[in-house]
Amino acid sequence: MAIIEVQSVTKIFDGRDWAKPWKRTSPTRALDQVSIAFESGKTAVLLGPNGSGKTTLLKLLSTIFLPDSGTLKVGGYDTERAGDQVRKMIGFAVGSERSFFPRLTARENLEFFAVFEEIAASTMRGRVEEVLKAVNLTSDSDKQVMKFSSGMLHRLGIARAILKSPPVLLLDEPSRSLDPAAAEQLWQMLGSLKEMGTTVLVASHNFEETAAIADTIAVLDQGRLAGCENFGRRGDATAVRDFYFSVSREPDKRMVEARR
Amino acid sequence: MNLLRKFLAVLRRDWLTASRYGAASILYVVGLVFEVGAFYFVARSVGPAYRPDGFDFFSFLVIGTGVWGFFIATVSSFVSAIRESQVSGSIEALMTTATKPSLLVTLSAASTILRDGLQLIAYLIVGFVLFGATALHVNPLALIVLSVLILALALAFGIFAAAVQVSVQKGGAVVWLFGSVIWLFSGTMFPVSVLPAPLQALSKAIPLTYAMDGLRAALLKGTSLAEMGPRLMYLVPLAVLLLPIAVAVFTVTLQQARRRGTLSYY
Repeated sequence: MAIIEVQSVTKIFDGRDWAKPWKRTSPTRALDQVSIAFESGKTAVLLGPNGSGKTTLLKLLSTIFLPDSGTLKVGGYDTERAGDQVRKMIGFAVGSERSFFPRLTARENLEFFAVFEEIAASTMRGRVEEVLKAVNLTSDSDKQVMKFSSGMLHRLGIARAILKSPPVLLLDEPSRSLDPAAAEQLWQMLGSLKEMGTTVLVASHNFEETAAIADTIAVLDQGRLAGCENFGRRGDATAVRDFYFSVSREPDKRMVEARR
Repeated sequence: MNLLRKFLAVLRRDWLTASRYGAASILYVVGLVFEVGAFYFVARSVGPAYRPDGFDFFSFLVIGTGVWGFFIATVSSFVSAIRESQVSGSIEALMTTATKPSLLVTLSAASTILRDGLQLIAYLIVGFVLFGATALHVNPLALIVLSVLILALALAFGIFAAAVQVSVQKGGAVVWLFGSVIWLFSGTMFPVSVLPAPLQALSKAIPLTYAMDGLRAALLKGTSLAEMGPRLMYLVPLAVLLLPIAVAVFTVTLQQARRRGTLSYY
């Protein structure tokens, strides 16, 4: 059963500077008539080059953006008409590292967001400890986040996204800035979340990561859905790569090198 | 219960942040004493014979600038709350939480408003106790009602300013212009009666003119609510109407920013 439904979605950024309304700019078509559905309890990976529309799709699903046309539904709720319901269902680890209060510690930041996620006061502290442990930040939890490295901020972003145990988890390039051991730990954690029934949608550039976690792979290219398949070869990064270049317009550098 | 928890979470966040910035708050209090001191000597140099609207000039200045400062700081706190979350990058993370965006913005400004209120009280204490402004003759009920009205108007204008910040990212400039107009026309430092007739008409359209005049009367002359009649006839409906309109405008603006993809722009 599909928990995420995207129907004919187009998103255009007009790029207009509202301080200079006379200045003409060319609009960017970030998503163009994209239709796709993701099944409940599965992990799907969105692959695509920079600017292909992966982050835009995640932001549309999280209600940060609204579509210009088409509809997006999460758990049957329309992101435009029932945004409040959608926001209760999703956890979103935004790609940006600048999304915390820099002078607060990791624990204080998570406690703040836990209140706004309406996590019960009786379970809040325990839950914060759980997610800190899940992303391996317990020993750094009392450090101000302005002193965190890029990888630590990324892990903290994931901790925040899973705080409320959302049925749908959206992750934007989750293993970016992570060392190999931390990336593997993250993939194991995503596997455990899937076992608990969480639907995970990941935007990624990483074939190895995709092979490690994906049940479904969708490739976006210049705002269009270039291809989508159920992926059954866990761990086979070459198979991911082959599928990606078979549907994407991006040239396979290995093939180009081989032809030389 | 949830609302109180969220309010306390914002207070805790802002308190922790402020306390880790060191001595900034102490410097503010010291600055405040110097500011009130300057008004004291301005009033002394003008002399006791000058009594604008029948009030002692130093008391007139302390209440006028204190209330103006509170009003503008409160309006500005909404813009700051949005802008800080845009600059820190936390706006997108906050806007995907289970809390309604308009409540989120109001709560984000709440602790600043509380701080502004305490600063106003400190300002008045410095003026009336330290520098010995004229004796107070307070009507408590009128004082409370006018304070609530000033707060409601500041909240409404603050949410309008937040809408400007979300929409065109120029909330700070709008608040600065708005503050300057009010500074000049609402009787902050001199009575509006000295303005030319056309400008007096503009002054009468500004709600803070009535609120400031009413507050001076409630604090210095003990004027009762019944005697406040015309001022309240203007202020009460405005406060009741403006707040829901401001929330509606902010909600629409936020939807537009989501549509244009500019929520995190600053």
